[in-house]
Amino acid sequence: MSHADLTFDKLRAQFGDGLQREDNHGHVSILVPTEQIVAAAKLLLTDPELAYTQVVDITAVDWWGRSPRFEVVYQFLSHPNHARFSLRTYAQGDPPTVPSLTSVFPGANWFERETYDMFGVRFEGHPDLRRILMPHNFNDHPLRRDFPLGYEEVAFSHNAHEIHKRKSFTPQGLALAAEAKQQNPDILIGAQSVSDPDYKARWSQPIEPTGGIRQHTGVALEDVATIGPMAEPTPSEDLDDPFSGTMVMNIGPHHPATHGVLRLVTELNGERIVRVMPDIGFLHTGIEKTMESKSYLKALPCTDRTGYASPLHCNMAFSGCIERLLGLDAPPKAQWARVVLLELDRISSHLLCIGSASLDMGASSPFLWAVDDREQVYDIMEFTSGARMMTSFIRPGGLAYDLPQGFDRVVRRYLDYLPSRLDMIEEVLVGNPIFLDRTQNVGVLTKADVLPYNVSGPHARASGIDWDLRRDMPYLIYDQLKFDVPVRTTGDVYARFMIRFAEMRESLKIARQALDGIPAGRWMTADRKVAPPPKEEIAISMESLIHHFKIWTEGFRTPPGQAYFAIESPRGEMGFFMTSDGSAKPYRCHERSGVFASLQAMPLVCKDGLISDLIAIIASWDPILGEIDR
Amino acid sequence: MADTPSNGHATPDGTNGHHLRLMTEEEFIKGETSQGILVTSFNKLLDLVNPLYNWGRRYSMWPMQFGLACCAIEFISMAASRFDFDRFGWGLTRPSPRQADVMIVSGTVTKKMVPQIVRLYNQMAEPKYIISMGCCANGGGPFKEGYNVVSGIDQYLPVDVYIPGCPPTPQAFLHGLMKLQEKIDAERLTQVAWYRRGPSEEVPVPILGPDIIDPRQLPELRAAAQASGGLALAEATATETVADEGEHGAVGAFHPEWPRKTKKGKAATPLSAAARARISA
Amino acid sequence: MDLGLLVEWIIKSVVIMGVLLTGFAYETWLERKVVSKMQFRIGPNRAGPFGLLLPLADGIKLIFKEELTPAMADKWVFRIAPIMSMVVALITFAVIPVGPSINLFGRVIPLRLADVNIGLMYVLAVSSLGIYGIVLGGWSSNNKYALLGGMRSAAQLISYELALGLSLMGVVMLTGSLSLVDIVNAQAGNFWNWNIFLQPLGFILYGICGLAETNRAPFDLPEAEQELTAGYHTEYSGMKFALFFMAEYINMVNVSAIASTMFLGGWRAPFGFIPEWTGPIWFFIKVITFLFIYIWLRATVPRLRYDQLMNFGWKVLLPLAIANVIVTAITMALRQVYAPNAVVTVTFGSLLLMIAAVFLWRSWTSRSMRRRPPLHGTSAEGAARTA
Repeated sequence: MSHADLTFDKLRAQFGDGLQREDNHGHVSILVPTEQIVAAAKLLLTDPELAYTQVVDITAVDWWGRSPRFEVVYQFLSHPNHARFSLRTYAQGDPPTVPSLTSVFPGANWFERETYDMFGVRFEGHPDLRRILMPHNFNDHPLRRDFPLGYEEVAFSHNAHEIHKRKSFTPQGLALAAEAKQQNPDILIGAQSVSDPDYKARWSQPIEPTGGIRQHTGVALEDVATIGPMAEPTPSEDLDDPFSGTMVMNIGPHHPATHGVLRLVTELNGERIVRVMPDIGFLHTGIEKTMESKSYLKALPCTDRTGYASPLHCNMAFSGCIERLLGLDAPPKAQWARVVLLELDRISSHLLCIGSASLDMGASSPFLWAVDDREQVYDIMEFTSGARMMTSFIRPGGLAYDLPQGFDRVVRRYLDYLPSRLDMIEEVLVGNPIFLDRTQNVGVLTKADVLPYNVSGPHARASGIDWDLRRDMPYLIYDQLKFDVPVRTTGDVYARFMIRFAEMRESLKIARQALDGIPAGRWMTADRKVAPPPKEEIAISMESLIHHFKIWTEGFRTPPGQAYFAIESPRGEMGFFMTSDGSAKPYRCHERSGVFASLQAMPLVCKDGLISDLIAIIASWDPILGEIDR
Repeated sequence: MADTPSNGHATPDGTNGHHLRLMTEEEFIKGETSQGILVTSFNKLLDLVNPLYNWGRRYSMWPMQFGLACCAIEFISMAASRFDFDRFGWGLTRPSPRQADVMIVSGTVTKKMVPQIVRLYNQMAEPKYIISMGCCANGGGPFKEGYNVVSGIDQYLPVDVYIPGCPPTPQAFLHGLMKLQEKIDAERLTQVAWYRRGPSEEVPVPILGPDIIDPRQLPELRAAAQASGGLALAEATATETVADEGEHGAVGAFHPEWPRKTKKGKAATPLSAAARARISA
Repeated sequence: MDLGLLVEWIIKSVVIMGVLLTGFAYETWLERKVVSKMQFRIGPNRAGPFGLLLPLADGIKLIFKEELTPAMADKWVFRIAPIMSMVVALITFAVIPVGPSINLFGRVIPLRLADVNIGLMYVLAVSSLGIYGIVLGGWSSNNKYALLGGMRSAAQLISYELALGLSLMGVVMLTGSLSLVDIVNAQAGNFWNWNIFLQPLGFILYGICGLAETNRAPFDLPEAEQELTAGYHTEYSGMKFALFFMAEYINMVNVSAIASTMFLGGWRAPFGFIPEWTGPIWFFIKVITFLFIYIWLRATVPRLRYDQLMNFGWKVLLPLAIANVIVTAITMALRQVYAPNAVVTVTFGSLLLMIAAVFLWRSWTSRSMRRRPPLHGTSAEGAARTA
């Protein structure tokens, strides 16, 4: 009996036989009545046999036109039992509401906020249900199916009229809208019915200044995240008295140390940090919506552009999810080659993290050395796929092309070259007492906080959680490789850097083994419904031509169902959750990024540090905003 | 400038030289230069300074340390050892907009970020330039259709150089860099927009709203909204709410008299031209 | 008053200013070139041969750059602050001798602007004034980053100025004079007469404090780019910013020049037989060596944290500097009583102190010097747990 069966049995024993079970290629999910979701989650966590220690992902699916409309999907992960399980429930009522899981899993916080922001599903009992990605004065929920993809669609002659009609605020749009409304007063224009009486009122709400010195921050402190059990500072009595209050300083979205457009609203007492409140969403491109509008193959390049420090890992998670939906395995050559590429990708990502960390602490040379070593990974990628960064080389069913001749030699040369360079960078950083003092005992994330706050990947391993998906829930051919998982116990900034150094050395080992083991054979699955036929076949086979045409115009279809597939990315568990309605486009495509989840633990460790510590902590967290904001 | 010939010879116009006659400019200059006098005007003198002025600026462009998305990673590659844009004297990236000369918009511009970008641009000191790096900043790129994405930074700021690519390779960026240097070379001190009386004009900071309203179109939008009656959406969005005040406070409040920025000497952005064409059509 | 003397002073002042200003410019060039070599780059090479005209380009650009004053800034203070920094940086050099006296046009012209008998005091007093520019600049900008930068700078100055002054006191005691000319003359002869051999600890302390005084890496907290965007000059643009920039680099020259004068024999050649007129060349070489070390540190060393900086200043540097003064005093007293050979005694005392300092340093960093602790938990462990 598998662990999923056991879980199902236990849940049924508790909540009656009415539970519906759904199996999708090993992905077991159970539909739970809305009012029982918290109890079910508590059972999953507390039952010693089940021990689902983390809720790794929460999102929703909008079944537009059905009732109830919103299905909320929870992914659970059991670290002791190496098992995954999924619960589903329907949001009832208007507005759609489900109970919040934050009382059981504090790490559900940001996922629930994101679901609320994107779908408008309210989570009852959530401590801080506010928008997280969209601007705080935005008043719609963009991932709903009835929300248009965007206002600024590419206009061609055949759809310009249609687009103008939706753009009810342009002069043409206004004219068209007025015309349309004369014919039919109830017509829907744009995202919202313009006849909606609240429409103007909602958009014209001014943003209230909050008074006192705090109005300079734009976002009032009360608006910004206070996460979990963080102690509330005693508010100063008189905000106008410059000697009694703390100072609020915005770090970001434009700041050299925030690695992009992360914004940290920081409350300072002198240089000491009282509170840090991350504000994200400045790079929210709505990529999930974009992907839902494209066929699977065309959505793939979007994934590169989310986790742009490790694009191949995004490709892999996406392709793996589709392969799970299709019930398909990539051929052995593709699997082994993927491992080589993924480990190179991991090295390049960790190099960027360590390099930029050293720059953030004031040492510029190690940064440039690290970037120089990254260049060589880019060279390999360019040699392999033709693109430096955004390769889109890992595709559903295998690889985009065969590996080029000489791939082996090029990669081997790099694997021989890197260790001495790593030693050099490590020597300059770790051999420097200033660096050690800046990092050791700074930003300590305790082991007890890791799982509740949804931290995974190097951050978790630095705090003593011995967990690596490559070893513990292997995908591809990682179970055939020999490698160690470095773990440290201190959980400070230093440990997070050292973990990355150690992981790079392990990655070299893995890549070497995988390179040795690449078998001959196809690089792409032979399934003509998924993989395009080779060019030479098109010339002689009618059927191949049809397949080719179908795949590049319509795309391949996946059977209806849901799948969640996760890999160990350089920033923790990266997963894709996909819902298919049987068409060639994903009905719902959700990216679960490790650093989005773990960023909510960052305010915990910044408390009582100095500004310099905050900079070191951000650097050690390695936030890639494309992955966080998506 | 007049000349009275005293030698009594008949002048070509047959007046025997007894009348006052206006010399042509050429004659005057010829006469003066034969006596070793340099004839010039203030503008021409300034033109002599132009090459030096432009040369100084083209080798001392300090970019703002500012990254938005994926392109920023390639920007880092370009700044790093292999491509090394410090060769051109561009290597001093300044984190403060006050000291920066060129802003490199590297990555997807979202509706949440665009007010901040415009504000940063306003905070830069003249002369300032903008390089739009990558397809996203040029025109929306692969996310153009996205509900939260701006179709190109040039709808808000005057872009000097566009670098295509997703992301552009460092080589492409270096090409763009040299293009900007060429553009600087062609400027003339007497014609540049930034040494005039009064402070330089700020670009209006866009309003965070349901969709990006082009602030330059607002008068037209208002008129159209009033004409169509009832559909006063544009008016609703034009309330002067500065959505997100940054560290330095609200630098640019909304400017109702837009467009006025022709004085900058920078080309009118494509959208405003297109918008005007659309409205007149 | 001798009119010729007045002319001489004016000429000398102009020369010093000119040398410092061009020196500043080429210091930036040197820095960019040296750092680029350390980072496997080429560095500036487009503007002129080897990028030698780059400082000129930077200057032209900065002169023509618009100068912004934030609306809420304290305008007068905002304007005065960079000027203050700059002026102070320039006048420090007045008392530093760069060579011997030379005969020119029948006049004996000493290669220094002034020989003040409290020269060192003047240097210390003036160089600590420069910090006012930074603090006021940070305060008047009405910017939180600038304010924090200014505060950091003030705290840093107070902490390091004490140790800086005390580290020089050993030399003053040995020489018995505050005049820099006397100090240089006391080091005449061969290089083993230089004060660095009498005061090795004082030299090292001065080097570290000098770094902190000039706000250079690893003590560049007031303008820490990655923390405070640009620190105290966040709001400065154009020439005002350039003045801060200049002041920082000219201060580097000043600190290097004082270090050379106090510890390395000033303009004196390493050997007594080398003619004296080569003095300015030796002085130049010594200053450049110091500048190179500054740049070297900038390229590799991470920045200290605020509290570490304070700890280091108050708990390490200041006690050591005081101990240095005491040991020097004791050895000088002993010299009068027993040993006729001053050098041996003083050097011995200072060396003892050096050893003590190294031990102190080790104990300060010992908790952080443990290298590469073993990894906990491997795949074997994980596998065992799984089974």
